[in-house]
Amino acid sequence: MNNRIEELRKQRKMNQEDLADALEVSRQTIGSLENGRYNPSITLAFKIARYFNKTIEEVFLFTEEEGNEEK
Amino acid sequence: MKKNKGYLYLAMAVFGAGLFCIGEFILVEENLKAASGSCIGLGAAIFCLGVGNFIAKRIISKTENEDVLHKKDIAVNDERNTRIREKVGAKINQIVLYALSLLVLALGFMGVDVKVILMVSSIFVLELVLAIGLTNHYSKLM
Repeated sequence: MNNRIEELRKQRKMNQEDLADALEVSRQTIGSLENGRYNPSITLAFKIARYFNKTIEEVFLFTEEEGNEEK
Repeated sequence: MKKNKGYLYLAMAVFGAGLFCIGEFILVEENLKAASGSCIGLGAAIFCLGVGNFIAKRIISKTENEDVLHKKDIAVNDERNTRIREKVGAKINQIVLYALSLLVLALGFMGVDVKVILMVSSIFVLELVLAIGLTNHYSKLM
């Protein structure tokens, strides 16, 4: 799933470590989220969206094809 | 609370050492050989677990500051790490089951005593029982 985490993070002039500390996850998780290798749980998705004062839909870009994919 | 846990590990170590001593020095008769072996094995395992955890709790924890502990806590509870651990566990289980199947086959071809083969095969039954039980348990929770 594509997302705008990297873009939003850079807008706030933060590095991955800062965002990881703010969200209480590891830096590797932020890296994986930004690369689209890892899809977060609904709880983390909400935490990320709330941190950037956005809705989940504004941060995570969901397409129907991705919804049918089996990872 | 944390301090109590340190003493709990110490008690575990003492209990393990006691069990080891009972197996080694008290249960010395020939007909108690199995019980003696069990006490020695179990005692040694409990002792090592107790001492290891006590050292980790009382000595290593003191050298770590709050920041390091917080980072460690985040790394352990990180949802991606948790999911990785779950996936690794599931994969290991699959591989071990295949390895165990091969072992049972090999034991059969080697003409090993049926009791031994049955003992090893009972792990498959345990796996099945656990799978049914845990599926039932988590189905109710989720």
